[in-house]
Amino acid sequence: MRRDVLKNHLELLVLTALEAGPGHGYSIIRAIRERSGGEFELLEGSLYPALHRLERDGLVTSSWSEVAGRKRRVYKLSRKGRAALDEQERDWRRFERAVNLVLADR
Amino acid sequence: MIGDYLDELGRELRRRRAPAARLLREVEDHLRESAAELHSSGLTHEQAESQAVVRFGAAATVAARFAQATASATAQRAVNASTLAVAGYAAVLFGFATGSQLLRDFPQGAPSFFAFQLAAVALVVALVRSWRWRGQVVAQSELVAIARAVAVAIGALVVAAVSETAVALSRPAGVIAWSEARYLTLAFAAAFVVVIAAAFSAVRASAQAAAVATLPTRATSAESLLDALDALTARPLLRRLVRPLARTMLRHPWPATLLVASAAFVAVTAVGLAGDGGSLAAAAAVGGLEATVIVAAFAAFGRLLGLRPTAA
Repeated sequence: MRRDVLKNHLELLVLTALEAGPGHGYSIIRAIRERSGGEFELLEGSLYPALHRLERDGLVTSSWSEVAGRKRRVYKLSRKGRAALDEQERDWRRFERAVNLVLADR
Repeated sequence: MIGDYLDELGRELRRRRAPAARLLREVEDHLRESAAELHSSGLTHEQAESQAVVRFGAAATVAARFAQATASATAQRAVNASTLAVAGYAAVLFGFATGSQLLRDFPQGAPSFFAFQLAAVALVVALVRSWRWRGQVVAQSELVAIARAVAVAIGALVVAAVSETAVALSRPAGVIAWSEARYLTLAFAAAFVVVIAAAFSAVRASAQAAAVATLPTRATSAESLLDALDALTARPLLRRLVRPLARTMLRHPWPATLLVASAAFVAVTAVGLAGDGGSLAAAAAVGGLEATVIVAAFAAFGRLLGLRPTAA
């Protein structure tokens, strides 16, 4: 899938990945890749601007932990983030239905 | 390999005035985990690090995206700070205008009065542009436009506050009793502090926007302001009214400015006649001054605010 298409839905994908539980950047990338059946290969560096923005907007929270002597930032979905995920999922379902209707006439 | 990449990413972030420390720590953890996973799948240590770096993306690209997201948040904060500053200053103006008889000539100086008007117009431009991007990463070109509008708004407000202070301090002693002006003077001082704080925010936003901008000439186009206005006016009726009016004004900026200046001349002259009961000539002189300042301000700041096209 084209990365510029994916970029527009990155927020929804990240929030969905975090719904299963807290995670750090690399685990979020891995979750998105696995749950999409390998279809979504993000440019991994694009994840962090999105994560920091979600945190600024209060949709996720984060804290440092230490793993194998390395500092690791772990992100967690906030209550506001859960509500945003519900809303974005509704929007996506509506969009998907509409696109399918248009494509049905082909 | 990973160390070199982190050094490069740090340099690219600093070039764009983006905060680097936290991101670099996160990226290091990400790359080391990615490389370890690739190494365990059969790649050599060097191949795994190289592959991890490639999958992460070019340092300049990653830094540019991160810097843009950071600059967007800074610009939105600067708009909020400017709104607070202009609103606070306006509240003080209102307090003086409706306060003691002795204080009603505030604002006392023409520079202060006109600078405040310019600040209000620039703030409206900044608000319209930033509202269009609320909750999103602002496009590079729009980032510059928002930062410029905020800079003009706060610059004008600083001029207003400083010139007003200068006029107040040069008053003959004893004209206004301290006890009578105590609260409004304190309010003025508080508004001044907010203006200065907003100025720091505006400078930061301008510096970050300038650092990430690559297409500054597109930033100030009238079309992008029209798009932002369009996104704001979601109601069909409002859109049908506002869009044609804004389009006409932005497509014909000088006639629109002369029209606004003429309307201001009539309004200010009428208010002058009604309020003071003075002569028509005196009221018309103030109205003429207002109209002249509007035209001059448009000539000086119109391009900066994206209200008229830049020179070819």
